[in-house]
Amino acid sequence: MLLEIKNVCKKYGKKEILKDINLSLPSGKIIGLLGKNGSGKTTLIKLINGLLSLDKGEILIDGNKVGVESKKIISYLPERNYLNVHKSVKDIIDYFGDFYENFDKDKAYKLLDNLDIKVGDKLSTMSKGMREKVELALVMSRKAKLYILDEPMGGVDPATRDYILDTILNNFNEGASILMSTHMISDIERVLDEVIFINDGKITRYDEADKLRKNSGKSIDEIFREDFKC
Amino acid sequence: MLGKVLKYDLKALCRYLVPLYAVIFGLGIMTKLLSFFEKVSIINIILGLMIVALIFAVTFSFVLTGIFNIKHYLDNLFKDEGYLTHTLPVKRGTLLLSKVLASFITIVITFLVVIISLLIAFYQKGLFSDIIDLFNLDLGGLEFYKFMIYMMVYGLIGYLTTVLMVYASIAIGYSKNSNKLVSSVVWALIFYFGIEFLYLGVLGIVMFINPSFIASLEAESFLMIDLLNFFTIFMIFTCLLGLIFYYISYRFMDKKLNLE
Repeated sequence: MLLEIKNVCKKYGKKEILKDINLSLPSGKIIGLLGKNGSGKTTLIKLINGLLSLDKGEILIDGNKVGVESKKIISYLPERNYLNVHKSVKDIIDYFGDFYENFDKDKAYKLLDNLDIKVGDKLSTMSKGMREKVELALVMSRKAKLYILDEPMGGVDPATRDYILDTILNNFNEGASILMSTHMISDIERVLDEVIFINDGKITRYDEADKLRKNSGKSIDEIFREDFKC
Repeated sequence: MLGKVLKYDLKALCRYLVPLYAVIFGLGIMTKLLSFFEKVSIINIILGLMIVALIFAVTFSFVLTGIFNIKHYLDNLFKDEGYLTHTLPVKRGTLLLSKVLASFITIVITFLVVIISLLIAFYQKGLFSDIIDLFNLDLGGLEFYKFMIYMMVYGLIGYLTTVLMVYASIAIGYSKNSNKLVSSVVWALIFYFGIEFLYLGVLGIVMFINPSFIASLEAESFLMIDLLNFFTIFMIFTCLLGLIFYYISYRFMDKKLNLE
């Protein structure tokens, strides 16, 4: 298994955010991590990336605990703009190239060129949306084993959503898995191999997307709406 | 990896430090140029203002260097940038060590910039021979330059320990779920007053072991080396505190990181 999550619990203060999460994710799949806002998606993703400390349980990525080895094979897109806006695009590409052995600079330049972004452009001169595209291009320019994308389409227009999805699908490393969190299910439903439903810190469903659709006779979006009805 | 992390830390700090150094050099050069026309009364007034500005800039340059380092540490490890920094395939210890080395390197550079700027501003014929004479001056049985080197080393250790104290406060404060900045400030105050209390304790112990020490400093036979031995106790103690703060920062970053 590429990613194993065993009995993971996480609290913020007294509030339990994740409650005894168990998951085993294989290689070569596109997996949707689906849940309402505040369901624990981002917390789980941050734990996998070592941005939060575990209260209980264990996370293994390709057999390694969260650390230097796991970070070599995970390419992570956070839900927020995280690049230093005072840097130019070239600076950022050099930075990624220096630290990630699996970063393909030529691919990054090509992807950015498609967006009409000049390498000398500073991030501070770009719109939030454009910065998100730069970040996505950088993340997808790595030959990673696991891509973790946290709300890659959050707050963007439909045309940009298509661009983002195409960039992801056309550029991820063959044999790698993508774990993508979102609540915009209809936009990504067609590409998902597997889906995980998370609600109130618990995994409520984990199954193949086709199987779910076949058994219920409904789309993933419809199942989601039923499961998470307010 | 340490070299790479350090390279980017120094590059990030350059953004703040280069303008600061430019101001210090600029004031030094302006002071020198105006001194050629000091007999013109209006220029003499401007020269006076320029000297005051230079002294201010020189004095605050060390404080600003510390503030810039702390700001970079906070932004790079505990704010949005931390999402990238902490997902680099680099050990947490390497990230922290790089920040400490960057603090050391930048304070040394600031010191050199200040010295060069002052030399530019106030250079006169025979200045260097006067400095050499001053350095060879006997100061209670010790050459002045040895005393200066000692005090600079002590100052550097004190500076790094203070920076590490703030680093540790931030690491603890930002491990909390809310009021992170307030919590960091509170921890910095706790550490600060704790250190003051500990220094008093160390002084008390020294006085207890050697009660005649203070009286000997006022005696005619006073030897500078005795004073330095006294300071050495504090220097070792300060080093120890620095190491403790380093460990606290590392421990909290490694086990309690909370980029929520």
